[in-house]
Amino acid sequence: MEPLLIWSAILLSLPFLTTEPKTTVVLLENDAVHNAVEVTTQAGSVVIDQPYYYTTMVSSDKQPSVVEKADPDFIRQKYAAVLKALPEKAVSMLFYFEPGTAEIAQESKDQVEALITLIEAREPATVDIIGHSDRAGDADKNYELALDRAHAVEKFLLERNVKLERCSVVSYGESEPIIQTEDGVSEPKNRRVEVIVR
Amino acid sequence: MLKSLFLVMIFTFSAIASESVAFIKRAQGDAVVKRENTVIPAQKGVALFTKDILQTGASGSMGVSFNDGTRIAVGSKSILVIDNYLFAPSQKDFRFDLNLQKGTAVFESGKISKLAPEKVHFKVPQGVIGIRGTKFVVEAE
Repeated sequence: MEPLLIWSAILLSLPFLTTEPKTTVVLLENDAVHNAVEVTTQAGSVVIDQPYYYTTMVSSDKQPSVVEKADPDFIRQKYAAVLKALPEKAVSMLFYFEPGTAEIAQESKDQVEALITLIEAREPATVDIIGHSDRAGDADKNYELALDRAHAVEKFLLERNVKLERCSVVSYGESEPIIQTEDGVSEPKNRRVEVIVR
Repeated sequence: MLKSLFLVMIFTFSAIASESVAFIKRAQGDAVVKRENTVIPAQKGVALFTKDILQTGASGSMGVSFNDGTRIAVGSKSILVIDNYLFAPSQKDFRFDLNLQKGTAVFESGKISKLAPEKVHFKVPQGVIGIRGTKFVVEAE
């Protein structure tokens, strides 16, 4: 999980301890496949694409410093307070539907308890309910169908007396399939509502 | 024709201005939100808007969750401005400009960074950080 811990302790003292105004950017670990930043001043830019590598900018008319490794433990310690303030990652759950309907599939209904527990644990939670369809049928109708599906999940939660104070209900129609298909293809995994709890 | 376009534009801008873009998930110590001429104590659940200024003192920190799932943390002695934010995936319209004037921040990307990474700019005093699906920490001293 953390190959970075294998690294021996390295460098760091100078750029972090001087007092002249400067900005340091450290890339951290992330689940994303493409984890990279581009750091740019008027004089040029550098790309950081490995966790715990960093660059420093001292002035807008000077290049950012050459990217170097930092010691992960040092970074975690130095920035412990601000890292602790970072909100928890959003959790996303999927609810599936019968073809061409806004009827929640039974196995998805069974998952609702887990969702309710999650929403209560995150109070005040933001809940985003996003409806999706597969590509069977007309795109405009699928937009409406996906919206009906999202509202069906909202209604299902409200019937269970879940507080939805910060809740959005939207439709992405057939535009964001999980499984890419040709137009007109029925695909159970794409007939879904994504509920994101933050 | 021109007039109706103008009205549509006004409507669009007011819609953007009136919708919250994020809210505070965590707040500690000396932490406030400055909005126009008001200063709002930072607390869990406070909604944030474009142009809000997040400011912390020596003991302060804040954790913020944006509408697209982006999460940021602001450390002590920091000033971070939400310059611009728009998350309208159905119109494929995105804007995300943060400005760290001083202090420390952590950024963990959300959907805008995935759907339109070129629209995400994290400004610091000397330059700008462009984002490609990323968690990073930045310190402006």
